[in-house]
Amino acid sequence: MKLKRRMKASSTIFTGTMADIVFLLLVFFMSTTLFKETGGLRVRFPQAHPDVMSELGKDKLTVSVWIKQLEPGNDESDIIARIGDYDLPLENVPAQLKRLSEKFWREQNKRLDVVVIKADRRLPMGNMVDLFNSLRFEELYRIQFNAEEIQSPV
Amino acid sequence: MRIRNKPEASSKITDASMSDIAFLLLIFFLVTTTFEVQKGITYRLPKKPDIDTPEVVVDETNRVVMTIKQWGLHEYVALIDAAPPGGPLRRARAGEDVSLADTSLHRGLRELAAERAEPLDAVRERLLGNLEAAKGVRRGTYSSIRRAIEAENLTPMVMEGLPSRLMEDEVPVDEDPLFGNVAFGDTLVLSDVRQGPIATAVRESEMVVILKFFPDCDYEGMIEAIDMLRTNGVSRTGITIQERLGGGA
Repeated sequence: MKLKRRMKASSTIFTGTMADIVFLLLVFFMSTTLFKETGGLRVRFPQAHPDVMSELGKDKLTVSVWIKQLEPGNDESDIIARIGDYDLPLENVPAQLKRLSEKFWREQNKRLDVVVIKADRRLPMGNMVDLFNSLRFEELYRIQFNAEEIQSPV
Repeated sequence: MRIRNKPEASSKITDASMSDIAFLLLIFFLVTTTFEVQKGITYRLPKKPDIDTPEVVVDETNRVVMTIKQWGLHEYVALIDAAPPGGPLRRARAGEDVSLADTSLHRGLRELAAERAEPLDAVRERLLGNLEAAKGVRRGTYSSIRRAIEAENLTPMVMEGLPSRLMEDEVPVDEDPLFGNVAFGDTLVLSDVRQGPIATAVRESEMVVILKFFPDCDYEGMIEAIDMLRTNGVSRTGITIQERLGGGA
């Protein structure tokens, strides 16, 4: 009687495309990685409890404004603000944000949802309240105060 | 004469280590990649003064006014200028400053806020509005929360808030036919099986705390004050500047 040979299943896994997959992932992470933690001014954020802080959804259109006094603690010292890569005086921030908001609406048909304020903790409140009032007059009502989480929450 | 063969140089580049290098780089980027997360305290500024918009006047029974001053580098104190009559907090005399970290101030604010917890109807209405906004439909599409839940196949849930944890038995609780027991500070959530939470609304307090800052007070003081108020169930705050009165330094 003639015995039939069993078909042998290959025990090797084809790894020829492995390097391609890995490179694909590599290129993705290389293009999405952010090395700089802070894209703006060197500021020290105030602290808040994690329970009162919220995260903005990915779908929200936001603009970050970095604000710092050149010499923190010195009331006479100038205050500078940064939006993107541009430095501007604090009093010009609301008008610039309004221009950006109109640009988003014109070009992308999207509304600016939230203005994220990344301010140094030693800024004088007098200047900050002026900024809030000017934002109101530019009809920019939704803001977020950036803060660090307190290490020992309640 | 015997001709000697020249040693042949290999024209191949060894690519065996290629995947090792790629993996090494991949792991490096996997570990170091940070997707930027915007985390902070959200705040809504009041609408700008307009002829068409009527001015909102907060009744003195629902209002606390505090002046915030800076004492030291990271120390802030409050002077209570106005408080609801008969409540746990009283109008302080000049110089009766209290630290923002004072527990009796926290307790007083918490009690006042809880007494003025908004009715459940108002929270449900806000939730319905948030759901319509999230779904991108016009306002009034759903006649009620119940209809919206049935139409969109949603699950109603309640998320415990901070006041429930801090006040335990003292926190006011009301029963809702759809959500069950809802305490002051809790969040009503409507979620979808696939997308998760779609719309939320917090049961807030109707009490308003107006914070008056000295112009030279640090911004950190404002964050500390808002943080303290939110932790104790006060979400409606006004921010203004305390003008210095009289002459002298």
